[in-house]
Amino acid sequence: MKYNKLIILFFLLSSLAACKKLDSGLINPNSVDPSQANVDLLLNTAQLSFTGVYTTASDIGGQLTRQQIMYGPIYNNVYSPETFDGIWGTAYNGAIVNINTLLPLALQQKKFIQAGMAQVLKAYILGTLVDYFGDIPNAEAGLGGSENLNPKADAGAAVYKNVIELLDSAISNFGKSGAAPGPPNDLFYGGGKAKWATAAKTLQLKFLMQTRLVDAANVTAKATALITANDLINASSGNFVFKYSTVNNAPDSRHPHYAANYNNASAGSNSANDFIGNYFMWAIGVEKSGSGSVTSLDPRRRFYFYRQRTNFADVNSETCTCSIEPRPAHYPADIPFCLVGAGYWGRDHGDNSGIPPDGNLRTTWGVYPAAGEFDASQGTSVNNTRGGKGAGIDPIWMSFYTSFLEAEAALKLNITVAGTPRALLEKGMRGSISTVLAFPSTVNVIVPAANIPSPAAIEAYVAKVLSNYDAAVSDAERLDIIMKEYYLAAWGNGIEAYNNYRRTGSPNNMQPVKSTPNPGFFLRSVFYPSVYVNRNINAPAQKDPGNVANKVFWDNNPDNFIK
Amino acid sequence: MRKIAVILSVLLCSTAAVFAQVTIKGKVMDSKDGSPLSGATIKLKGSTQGTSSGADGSFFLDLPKKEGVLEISLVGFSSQDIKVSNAGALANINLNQDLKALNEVVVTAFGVKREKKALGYSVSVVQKKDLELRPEGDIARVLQGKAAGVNILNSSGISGSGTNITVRAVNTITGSSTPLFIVDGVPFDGGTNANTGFTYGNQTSSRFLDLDPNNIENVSVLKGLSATTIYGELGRNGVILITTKNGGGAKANKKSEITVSQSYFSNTVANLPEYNTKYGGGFDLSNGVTFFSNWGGAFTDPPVLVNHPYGRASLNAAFPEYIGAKYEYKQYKNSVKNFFRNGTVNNTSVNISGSGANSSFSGNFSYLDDIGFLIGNELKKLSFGVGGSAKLANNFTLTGTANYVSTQVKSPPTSTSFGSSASNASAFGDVLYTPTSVDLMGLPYKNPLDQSHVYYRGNNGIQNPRWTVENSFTGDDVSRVFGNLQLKYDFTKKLNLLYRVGFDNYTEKQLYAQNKGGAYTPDGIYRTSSLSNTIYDQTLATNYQTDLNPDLKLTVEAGVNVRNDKFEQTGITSSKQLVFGLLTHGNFIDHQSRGEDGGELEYKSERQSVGAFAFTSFGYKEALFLNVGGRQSWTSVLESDNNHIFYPSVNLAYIPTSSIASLRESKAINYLKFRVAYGTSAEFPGVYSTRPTLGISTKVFVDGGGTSINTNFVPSRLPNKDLKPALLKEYEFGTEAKFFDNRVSLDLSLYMRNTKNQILQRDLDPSTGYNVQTINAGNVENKGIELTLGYAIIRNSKWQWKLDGLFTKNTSLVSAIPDDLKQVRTAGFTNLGTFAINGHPLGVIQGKAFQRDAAGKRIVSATGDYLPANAISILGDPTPDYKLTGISNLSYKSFSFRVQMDYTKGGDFYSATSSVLLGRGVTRDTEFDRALPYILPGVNVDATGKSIPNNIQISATQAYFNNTVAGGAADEAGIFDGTNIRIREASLSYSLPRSLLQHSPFGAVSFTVSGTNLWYYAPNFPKYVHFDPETSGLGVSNGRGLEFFTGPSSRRIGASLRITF
Repeated sequence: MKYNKLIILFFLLSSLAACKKLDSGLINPNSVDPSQANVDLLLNTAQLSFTGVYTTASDIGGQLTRQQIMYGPIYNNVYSPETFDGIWGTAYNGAIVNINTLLPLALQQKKFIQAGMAQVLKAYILGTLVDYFGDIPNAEAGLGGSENLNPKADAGAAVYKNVIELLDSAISNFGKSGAAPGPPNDLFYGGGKAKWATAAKTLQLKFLMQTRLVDAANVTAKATALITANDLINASSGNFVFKYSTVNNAPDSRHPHYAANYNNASAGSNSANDFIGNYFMWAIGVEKSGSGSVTSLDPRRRFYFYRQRTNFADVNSETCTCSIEPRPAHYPADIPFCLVGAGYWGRDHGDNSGIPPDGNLRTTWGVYPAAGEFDASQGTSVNNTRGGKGAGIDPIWMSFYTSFLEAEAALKLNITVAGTPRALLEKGMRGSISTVLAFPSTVNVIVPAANIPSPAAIEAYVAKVLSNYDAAVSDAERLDIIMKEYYLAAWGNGIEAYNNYRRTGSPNNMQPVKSTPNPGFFLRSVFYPSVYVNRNINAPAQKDPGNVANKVFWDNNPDNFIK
Repeated sequence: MRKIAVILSVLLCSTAAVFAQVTIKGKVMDSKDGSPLSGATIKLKGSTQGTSSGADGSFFLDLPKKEGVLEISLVGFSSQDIKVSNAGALANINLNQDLKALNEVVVTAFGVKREKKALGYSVSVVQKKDLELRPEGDIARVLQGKAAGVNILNSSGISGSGTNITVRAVNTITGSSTPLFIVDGVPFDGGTNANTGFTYGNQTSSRFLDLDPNNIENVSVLKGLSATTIYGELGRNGVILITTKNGGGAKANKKSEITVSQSYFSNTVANLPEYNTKYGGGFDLSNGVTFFSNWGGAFTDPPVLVNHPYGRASLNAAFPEYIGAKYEYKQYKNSVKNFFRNGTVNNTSVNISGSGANSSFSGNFSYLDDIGFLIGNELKKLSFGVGGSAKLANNFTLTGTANYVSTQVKSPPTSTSFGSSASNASAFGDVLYTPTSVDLMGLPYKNPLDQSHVYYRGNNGIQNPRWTVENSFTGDDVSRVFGNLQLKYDFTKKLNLLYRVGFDNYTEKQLYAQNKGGAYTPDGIYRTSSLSNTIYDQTLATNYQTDLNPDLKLTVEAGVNVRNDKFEQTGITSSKQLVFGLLTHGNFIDHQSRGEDGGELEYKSERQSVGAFAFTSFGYKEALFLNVGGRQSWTSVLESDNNHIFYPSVNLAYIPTSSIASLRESKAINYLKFRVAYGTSAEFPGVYSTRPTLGISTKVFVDGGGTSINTNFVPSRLPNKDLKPALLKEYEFGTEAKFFDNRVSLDLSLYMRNTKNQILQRDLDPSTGYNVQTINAGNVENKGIELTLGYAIIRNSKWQWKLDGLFTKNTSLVSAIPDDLKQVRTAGFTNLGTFAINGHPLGVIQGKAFQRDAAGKRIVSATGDYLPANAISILGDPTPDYKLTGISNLSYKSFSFRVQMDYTKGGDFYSATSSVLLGRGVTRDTEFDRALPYILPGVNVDATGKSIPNNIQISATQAYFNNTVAGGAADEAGIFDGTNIRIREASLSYSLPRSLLQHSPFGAVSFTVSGTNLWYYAPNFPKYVHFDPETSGLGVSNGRGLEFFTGPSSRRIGASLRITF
């Protein structure tokens, strides 16, 4: 008997001991070992994160420059530090750490094209972060597995220097022989290292020109070299764009502004989400005609915006609260207020009043660049089957941006290798118009013949701007005309609009904040993200935008330069 | 030799027979209901003669003569002395229940019964009578207010929704604060397996919902670390020790008994706002019936006719009858009230128990059907189980329980809202601020052409709440098996060895779905996931008890424990519904492996922990008890250098009333005990925090060519190979006393707990390339008081009235958060949530405050509105100053009446409901004359920085709307003081007198009328909002004090019948 009990005991004990070795529980069964990292797949993360950074930055810039709507009304309160947590995370956590991880692997595996692409993307992101935030972490940032949990900020100028170096390195990588095949997924150019190299050089010009106020001599020399070599994005075939698709679900791969504005339809709700800035629609549709009413002078009007209503029959105190308000006393006479005309239904800059039930009345994003609907005066509500179904583009760098930038360089730095400022302005306008007019067919949108702007109409527009240019009496006026055309051409790219506005002060007739004549300083840079200031002991003190100008390093314009 | 013995015994026996002259008969009963009491000790005073009562309460005692005094005693009852000569009294011995009996027994970790007085720590015991026949099927909610130091917070009034439970206080900054549930001696998972974050709502049940309150014998709450060390590191948040009726086991000699109880309760909304009777929907006095807000024009009689909201072009095809129709702009009364229904709770429970000479068994069956007050919400729970114990002839004792429960909860989603539609489909997101001129219950809510939702807003952007409750679903379907098997071998009476295996396995199927045609996920969504969680727990332990000398007792418990936890989940999300109404994956076009919030649904984890423990107790003269012990634990989640930790505990109890002669006889002080304890526990981190991995994601994007873009990425979590376990320390001092003939009782605990160098989820600046890392840092110090006071005001054979008061107070302080972190978010949103900040209590609320000038006055901007700060700052501390519970038990003969009131003093609360209902102008709070201009109290700051009183006139609409609901308004507008008082429970019971039942088959019949959450009052919230702050918008988390349209709380009233036969 006793032995039996001991045997039972023995079995009990051994069943206890039969537990697995504890160490084996350390390996995560839900993911794989970092040694299995694949350069092409890391690059995909970088490409998609890049787009995320672009979209957020473009929308912020577009809101501040009246392309899109800013509620405000006090500049100090337009955004909060948390507003920028997302872009900060996407930039560093999405793009940069993965780029830093893939670069040594890519070079080791002779994937030079991938390395070059990653460097171009990183350069653009870093430059844009400086443009928006000022000094940012770079040298100590995104090192991957490093123990440095508090990266120090580098001066904006130093980061810009690194941006140019990164682009140099990318150009060198694209030129290397013996490269492994390029990535299977190139979401920008669909393959082609020459185009990437051209893009890298063009971006060098962009970032150089951005610093022309503070570094004129150096910029002049280097920009002259670049423009002279002329391996720049000069034709629409070289446009640096991210291409979305029509896949509306799992995952939604459409242009974000299409998804936001055309997608409520199956509920019968036919509703747009975003407001477009009244000023921007006015500048396209009304400003140049001199008539005070909407005309077809600008051939891009029906391509840029889609009107759900072609008149203001629906305007009343409920649907459009500002329609019964007096025009703000601080609004200049020639600036739009509340209603632009002809059904162009937007919102004024800094209007923070309640949102009226006007979702099916608002003018929304048209065919360019979001692949929405072409405005043939249908005057009907949006839905998610309309237009190009969202297979639009992010116009990151278009050939006509190069022309306008060259025009600015010609005017301000006398770099006339590519032409006179006037000729480059014309080239820019024609490039923009032809690109926009050609766009619908690339996203399967058919423009009714009656609505295709005639060559004469295009000539009339170009002639109008050029006659204004010729009538200008100072370089300041001339620059404003160039930059105004750049601004109008940069629909879908709030980054350039915001940077240009701070660098040149153009357009100089921007609509003031509606609710108050004293909204504080315009945001010359934005808050540091809360995730940066609150989690990094080496982060600078938070800014006081609205009360302090907070200019970035390339901006030496006066504090109250722009509103 | 043997012969001599036989002869001797015969002689002795016959001698005894010769001297036995009288046989005393008697019967022992419970004075309360006359039910027989078995196991009472009947002893002749001054002798060794005695016996015990049988199953029917009767006893026989042979005495030499009919003289002397019998002492009748029973655990849990006051002793009585009765003269042997008084046969009449002996025939009806009614023992009075002693609710706070001196020699209360507590069951410790391995089924060892120990006298409570020997413990050096605090234990709160809740008996079955306070748990049974309650309208709530959730054991945690039933425990509300019943034990000092135990804090229960419903996440919402939805039946089956999650419940927060914390013992003493939250000690951890980013870890879990859920206590350990031990059911019949083995661990029971009490987690909440939310598939998505709180912004999708709080419907996910907490898994202690699977316990049946009607099948619980008692609940002991072990609060201090000294008490929980033996349970291992998961006991650091307190241990809820549950003994089920099946696990109560070996109550030998109890006669077979069947108890059937049936309850029926109504389940209704506890309180709704009082709506504006004078003004309707619109803005700035315009009769805008299609507005979100209720700032429209005044109602007139007859009503103004406006365009019918359904007359809009997009609905003309579906509703031709409304083309050009007019709509009366008037108050549509009870729109919101009639949106809710009267739910019912139906609970049937059967318990069967019985025993033989060396064995006992019991079984239970229970069915709960709880139909919520929200259409689409229902909780169904079916459980049955068996348990038993057998003492085998060969010194083995076998005990075991096996339980099965099936719990099904369904509810429409209740995602968060800030008052401009919810973040996702939500039953409550828009309904509470329905403008008074919107005829919610009269307007059609579905489009007759395609079943899609329709509502009053011009763009149909508000999802009609009536459509939501019919077409939006969350579901939670659990099958659970749990139980244990224990084999004990008694080497001698002093030494035994036991092996016990506990098993707890459940599969939980969850779903989230909405038919197509909503404003959210307009193409429809259907997510199903299935998870299984298994705890496999084995213990081998030995118990040794001996008297070292007559004054010194020694008890030793030692053993080894191995616990394995395994979690596995898979799931699929489908989108784009093909045919309206059918929820099958086959009826959806697109499928993916991620949930609606983007998280991967497939996940598995496994962890193992091994512990070796030893606890020794010395008892000196029943007056001084010293308990010393410790546990060494190993874990599978840390690298081998750091995967173990030792944590000891020591405590001392001293009972002056047992050792000091003068006190022993005192009438004023009947019992006095002091205890002091030092306890420690440990914390291990979550799984897989130490080693780097590579992130993988497929089909992140589909390009124009139809190619799926897949990715690798560096995960956002930075691994930490040096991670170590954390050690928690606690000091506790307490006293227990009874005064004035046991009329007054007191139980006081003071504690200080320091959780140093915690396991902290440290948020990283993304510029590092990562978002989070688990590190060892951060201290939380908790200090608190738990006091239970009892006073038996009336105590006679007919009337009994007892008052009990529970007082709980805790303060916490955070320190040692690393310098490079300004704060750690503990719950909520990054810009409105709860945070840990050095020098502040844990979990302070941060959000955007009003900007204030140097004198603290609110600054009004040039537009006449308050200027919100642009960075978040501390808005308040949600921890109450204290909590007070008062319980009155009054009984008269067979009637008893119990009331429980809870009072919470202080604690700040962010209530979106309260601020939005004001800001939308929908309650009677804003029924003032709206035509007048308003000037917000505050200051304007001029260019020189000088403050001048604000003089900017704005409209009433702007004053309220812009400063509460409007985007960018200061969150401070939603902060209120959370003080509230409520009648938590009241019940009136009647037990049929035994005399009536004597000739019936029934042993006992009782009838109870009861209710919960009968009344509440939160004085510092807007008067007509009737907000109930006992809710948590963050679901089951460590965050308290925030709410984002969580919905109203529930009130339950009904009756129960219980029959024993």
